[in-house]
Amino acid sequence: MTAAGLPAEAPLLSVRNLGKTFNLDRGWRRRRQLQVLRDVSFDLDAGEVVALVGESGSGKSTTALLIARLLDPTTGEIRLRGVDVLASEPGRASLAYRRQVQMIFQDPFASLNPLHTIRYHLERPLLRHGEAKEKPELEQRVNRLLETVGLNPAPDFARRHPHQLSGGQRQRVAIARALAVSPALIVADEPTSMLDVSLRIDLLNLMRDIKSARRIAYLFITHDLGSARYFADRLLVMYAGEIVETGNSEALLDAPAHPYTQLLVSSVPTAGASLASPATTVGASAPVLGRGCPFADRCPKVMERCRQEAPLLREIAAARTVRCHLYG
Amino acid sequence: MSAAELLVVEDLRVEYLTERGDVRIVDDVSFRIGAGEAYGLAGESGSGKSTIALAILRLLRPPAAITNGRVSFCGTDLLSLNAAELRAFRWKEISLVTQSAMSALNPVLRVSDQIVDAILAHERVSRREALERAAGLCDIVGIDRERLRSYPHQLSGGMRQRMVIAIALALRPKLIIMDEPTTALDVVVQKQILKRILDLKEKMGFSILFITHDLALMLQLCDRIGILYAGRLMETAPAATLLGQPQHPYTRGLMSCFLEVHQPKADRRGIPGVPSDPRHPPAGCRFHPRCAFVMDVCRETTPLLTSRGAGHESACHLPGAAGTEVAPALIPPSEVTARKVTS
Repeated sequence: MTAAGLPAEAPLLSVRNLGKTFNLDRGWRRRRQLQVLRDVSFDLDAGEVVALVGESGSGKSTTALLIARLLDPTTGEIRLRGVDVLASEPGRASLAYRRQVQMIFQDPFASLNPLHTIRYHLERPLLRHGEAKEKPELEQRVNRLLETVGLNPAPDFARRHPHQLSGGQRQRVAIARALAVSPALIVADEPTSMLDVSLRIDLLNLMRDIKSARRIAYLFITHDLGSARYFADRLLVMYAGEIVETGNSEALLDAPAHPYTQLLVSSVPTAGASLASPATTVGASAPVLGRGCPFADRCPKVMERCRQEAPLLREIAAARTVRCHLYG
Repeated sequence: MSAAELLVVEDLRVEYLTERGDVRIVDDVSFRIGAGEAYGLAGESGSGKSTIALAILRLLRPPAAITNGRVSFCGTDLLSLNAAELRAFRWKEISLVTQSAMSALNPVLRVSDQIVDAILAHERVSRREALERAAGLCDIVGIDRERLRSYPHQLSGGMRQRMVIAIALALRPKLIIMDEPTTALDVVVQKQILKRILDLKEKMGFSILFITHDLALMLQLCDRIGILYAGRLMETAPAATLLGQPQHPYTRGLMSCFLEVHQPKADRRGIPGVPSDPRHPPAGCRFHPRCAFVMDVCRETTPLLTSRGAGHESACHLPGAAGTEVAPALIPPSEVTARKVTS
């Protein structure tokens, strides 16, 4: 590790050519491989919110798991503050890495242990990472965390078990648990999709307030473009395991460039708009990474070249990249 | 009552009869659906929308029971039908499309058998004829006929949901209840299926009771909408009216919760608080603990649905003359001074 000699401008997180291939073991001598992620590269600065959007099966959650290092990539590198973590700590991620990169999961009913109190859930990371040792200090830290996420009165919530909390309150506990170790990056995988609409905004607002107060960066995974626009500074649109478009969230959604992003944006239900849809077809099965562009079969603007050669991610404007042959 | 009225639900009350007391899940809900109309029930989880669907089809299981009210369909009182009459009635007259197409289809039967079964259970036709009709239904919902031979797991989520719609159409019912039919699907597929449903509705003339938590979707699809909160109807209006002049504070809160793709990045707030516990509903208006405009009367008296204009009713004590826009003073200060989010 070269912690001392880092360039000052190194982004918080830098991901290059990340790829993941699963081995589908189908018994004796019948092995198949499934490539679910290809050539995923992006940077994330401190205090920045980047949203990964796309349909189910596009590789959003796989990317999240790779960055949280709950899954090992097949190819590529992950750099945290310039340090190539896959090289410096292969296999299991170090405690230091796990402290800096925390994760919030989609289902608050599954991510908390029903047998333990909220206090236990928050004390564990504090003890594990040596944030607090003595009883009074622990208690104070737990209460402060609960107050940060708006669970008041804190001592009362600390005593409760998960089943005594609503879905929104549980998700706040999940955020508090991530904050316990003062992370630099929170990977949030669909944190609001299981919550009622009236509670979603408040959770996003809480995450945003925490971001401003502590300069925490988020990798925000969602299929809801409205939430992505509201919360994220930048968007990465994924399709079939590849990033197909990136850009500032407002600019990208107001003028999507990739035909897939155009289809996605025009498909979001909008009150008062008509249901007339653009010309497109739905693929019979999930798109697979192959020789050409994975979107070619559904694309209204498909050309001969699209089936022959996979397009590369190209910069079409400042801070705007698109993976499509239409742009060069 | 006009002859065109298909379904009439009046003062419907559904309670869970438990040892620790009766819990009212649906409280005196009334609405009507006309022939060829798409009526939407919107509400959050626990508001009673799915319970209403099950009550209409008489599919409620104990401890849930209909304890009051009237449900009539084309003049037939559904609550007085016996088991045999019910069996003949269900699917033939009213069919149901549920959220999870995977659990609605039998995983060990080919899709064709499942469509054919529905037809043979109700009509005296040959198996061959039923199969032919199944193929026709595939054309209608836009799936290759070859796919009939598939098992459910061989189809994508969107195809499965279209197959479920095909089964729901099999007997040409007058009303289809759609309970979150596209919630599990990606937006691109969702839009295609909804468009298909609307086209079919035009062509075949059935009515729809559409249930969802997604108000934007509902405003796109439905002619009239009812907003449910904690088992009570809070507001009901034609879709355009609801979009332009929502009256009830809950409806307005719900609308402001929707994060749209093309809106400027202004600060938003959710509805404060959490939905009430159905075991201990608050006195007066169910929404008053979360309402920004709560008055003394709200804590004591339950407001009834009163007219606010053509086909527009709201259950709220706030004054609001028929047809007028909401007075600016009634908009919470936080929404007026929506600050731009910087960063």
